Amino acid sequence: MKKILSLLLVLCVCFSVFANGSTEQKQETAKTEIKIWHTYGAGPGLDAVQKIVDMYNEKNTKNIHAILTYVANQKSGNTQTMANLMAAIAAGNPPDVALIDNFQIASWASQDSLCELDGYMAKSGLTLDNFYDWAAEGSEYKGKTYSIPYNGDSRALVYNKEMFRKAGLDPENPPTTIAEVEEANAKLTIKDGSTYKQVGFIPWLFAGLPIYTWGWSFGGDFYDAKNNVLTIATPENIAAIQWEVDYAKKSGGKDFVNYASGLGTGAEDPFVTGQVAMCVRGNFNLADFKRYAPDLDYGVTPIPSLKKGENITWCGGWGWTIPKGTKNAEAAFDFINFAASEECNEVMAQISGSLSPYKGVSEKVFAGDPKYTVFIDMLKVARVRPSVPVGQQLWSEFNTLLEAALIGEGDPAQMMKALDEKMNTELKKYK
Amino acid sequence: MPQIKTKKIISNTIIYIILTVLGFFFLLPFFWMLSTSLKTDQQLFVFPQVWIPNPIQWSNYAGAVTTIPFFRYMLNTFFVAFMDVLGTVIACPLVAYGLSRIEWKGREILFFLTISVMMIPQEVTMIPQFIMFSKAGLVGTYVPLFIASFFGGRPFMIFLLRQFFVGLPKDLEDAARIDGASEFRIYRSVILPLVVPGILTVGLFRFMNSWNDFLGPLLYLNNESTYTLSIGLQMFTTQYQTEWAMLMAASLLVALPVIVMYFFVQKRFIQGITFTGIKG
Amino acid sequence: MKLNMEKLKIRKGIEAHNFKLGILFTLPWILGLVIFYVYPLISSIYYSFTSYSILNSGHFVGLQNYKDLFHDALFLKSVKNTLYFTALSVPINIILGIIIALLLNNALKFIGFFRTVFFIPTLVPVVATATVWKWILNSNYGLMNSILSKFGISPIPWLASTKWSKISLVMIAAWGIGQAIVVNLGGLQDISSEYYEAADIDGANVFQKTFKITIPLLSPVIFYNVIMGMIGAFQYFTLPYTLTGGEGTPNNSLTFYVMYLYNNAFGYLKMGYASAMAWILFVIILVLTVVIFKTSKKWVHYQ
Repeated sequence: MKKILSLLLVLCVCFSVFANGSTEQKQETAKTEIKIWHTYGAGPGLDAVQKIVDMYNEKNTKNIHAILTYVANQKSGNTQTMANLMAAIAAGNPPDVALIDNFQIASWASQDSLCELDGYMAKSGLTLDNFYDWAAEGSEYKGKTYSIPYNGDSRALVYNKEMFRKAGLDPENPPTTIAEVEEANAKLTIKDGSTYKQVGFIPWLFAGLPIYTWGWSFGGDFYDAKNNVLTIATPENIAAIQWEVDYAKKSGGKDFVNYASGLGTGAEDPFVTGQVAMCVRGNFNLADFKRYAPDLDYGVTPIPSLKKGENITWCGGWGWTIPKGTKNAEAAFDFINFAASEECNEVMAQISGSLSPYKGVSEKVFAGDPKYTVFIDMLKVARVRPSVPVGQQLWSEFNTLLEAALIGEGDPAQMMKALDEKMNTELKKYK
Repeated sequence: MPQIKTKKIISNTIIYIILTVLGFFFLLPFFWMLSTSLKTDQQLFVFPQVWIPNPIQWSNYAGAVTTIPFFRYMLNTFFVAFMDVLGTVIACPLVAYGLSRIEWKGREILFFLTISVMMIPQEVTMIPQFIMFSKAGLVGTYVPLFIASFFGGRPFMIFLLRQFFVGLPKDLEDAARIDGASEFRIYRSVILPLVVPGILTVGLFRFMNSWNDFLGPLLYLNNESTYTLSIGLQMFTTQYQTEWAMLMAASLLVALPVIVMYFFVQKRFIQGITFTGIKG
Repeated sequence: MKLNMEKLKIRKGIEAHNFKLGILFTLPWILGLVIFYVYPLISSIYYSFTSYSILNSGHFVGLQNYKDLFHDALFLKSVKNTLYFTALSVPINIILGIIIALLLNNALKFIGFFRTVFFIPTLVPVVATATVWKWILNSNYGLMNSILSKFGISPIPWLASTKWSKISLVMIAAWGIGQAIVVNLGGLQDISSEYYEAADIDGANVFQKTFKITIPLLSPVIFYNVIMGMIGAFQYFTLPYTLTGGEGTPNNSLTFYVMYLYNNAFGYLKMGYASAMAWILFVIILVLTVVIFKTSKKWVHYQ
């Protein structure tokens, strides 16, 4: 027994020596190594960044070698909490490049934890002009640039053509306005006691959950950049929520809300299973549809708007940043400059299936797939969530507000006004 | 005597029935995991759910161990867990003994301090701890993940062992003390053998804890070849999609070593006292 | 006179000797406390008085964080949620844990298999647990509601309604009491069979033996489970977080204390605020623990 134990101990010590030692090959010439952190698990997302890094290592003439490392994180609402990146920055030992959700740029920049990129951009001639407005806006905070857009996603209404036909609706003529979608919903919803055999449309499902989707569709807006004030309680935004509340009441009240809550949890996607005929989804869902229901006959159309012809979408995406505290900021930017090229954006879109924030690239890459057309067309007019440091909290608060409104635990107008006050007070704390 | 025998058979049967019914509920989610791990994509999303996958896709398991460097990670995880357990079973019983079998001033204060540190959620201590280890140049190594064990730095386990120790009769050591044996001798020869189930329990728990620890490896490891299984499991969830079937397969494979270990540990618990008080 | 002085000297001598021994045995942990806890704990107290965000040391704000917390509706809700959950979950788990351990403490055939069965749930990775239970408790087509419908009970919106969501979590938590059962089993091992044999001679029945011998002798271990259960319930986080993606849906009914703490610390970059939360939690748990300790003298039996 003792012998086995001591043998194991010796093995472990040897193992630790091997395990901890870095296994990078020793270079004869002094290469500058830069570390790049990303959060893509196994799959196309990983393949895309890997390809870009490989291309860079091959092509760059400055003797820089980029090392790509996956770091785990935890999903939090719509974003990832990057505890390890935060800890690394706090300890003064961050990676040289990090891919961050642009939605977090404002928070991180306001904490002075990311390098400003404007200086480097001026020197290298890189501008954000080649990127869509929503991407550029999302990369900036207080007029300074903190990230270079990497990928993007937009949202549209997907609808089940087969279910349309069965209900007597024209599958090539989907609803484009709020009124039309309500009409279609009435025809597509089949109640069954206190539950439903199928439902036409549930506004707050998936990409329809964020109040941003409907606020903008109703002609509202959320942020006055000039005065740095959140405009949460505009009449249009309130009207959007009121609409959702009334919609729920008309469609079955509590039964409807409960049914919706029981959907889309975990691996059961109601659009794929044919329980819901229409919903607002992101382009990132298309791959899942293809995979889990390849024979699904569905179409894509812009998100219904209140007034005809005023359809919107909004985009998010990730971007390359240089955390404060790295010792290789110049080399880091050299990589980012390379990755921001049209060529790399094409590679990214092609391999990962994400949309590109670079103008024109998505059209080229996804030319052969009609399902992408609407998502890509809307990129030109897409909105972006306000680039404010309280963005994450606002997001959670919006979700809470909507839930409360739907179950009748609060008046939309009152709650929005209260939220408006609360968040603007929070916002003022950030100089 | 036939009367006692039938009594025993009845009570045993009742026990079996209760255990089976409860056990069924306890295993239900596990069955679901197993079922999902063998499903094809098409069957994952059907409604109503399918219990028995058809066809059975064994390749999900092959996928699970090839999509991520599964066996490399398993080795890494095993190393960390082993060191953690080693440190714990050496240091914690000593500390627990000191907190229970020796009467000394300050004992209760130390005990209360031990319990108190458990009351602070680790979310707020992990960053300062990280900064400490970073200054010591230990980030990127496995050391921060198990070094605390060698200092008995597992308050939960100290507490548990202390409870086992105090459950022993008070005058156990008296005879040995009168004989002039050293305290350590008493500790090793008299008390320790009596708390073997406790030490086994502690070893098992620390192994489990270390095996499934996510926050530690998340913070301290940043070289992909050194990652542990808990990080590996995260890799099945990309930004928008999750490889459900492979994730379930991988999760089962991750749980397997601990299940096996537990089965052997509980054998040591075999000296059960039957309900009717007769050793069976 | 001289004899009393001698006695005093001897006693002091023994005390000093024991003190040295006590420190010696607990030395690793004393060092551990100093190395691994002093700095982090003092840091986090300091942070609670600042606007620390991890990324930035922020500035000193005095008691503002604590003041803000008491006006924070979501914070107060998280306290309520956590108290409710703890009050339900801890007693249920203690009782269930004892019952199952007693059942498993029999040298029956296949008992090893059963002992493993009850322990397996604790080994399932959280992401799998959350997914499985989401499916089982699905209001529309979950297994739970299918079974209930066979008894004529209409579907319950387990995870979809604010009334049932915490109860669902109590159920899921009960499913994970494997560790407590193992601890109980370990404790049961140390109960000498002599006691039972003596009781048999006296003609005691099963219930008398359980309540007069087993439970009292198991009480040190039960005490452990009560304290650990309480601390665990107050710090309950990983499962609801995974289940709801950190959002505590529906309607923040599943926003637990540590979950809100985590969101503030790592999501909203308000670590100072989160640290204040941590120390308030510490005080709450401390007070309850002291209470349990004081009452423990009445029901925990040390031999």
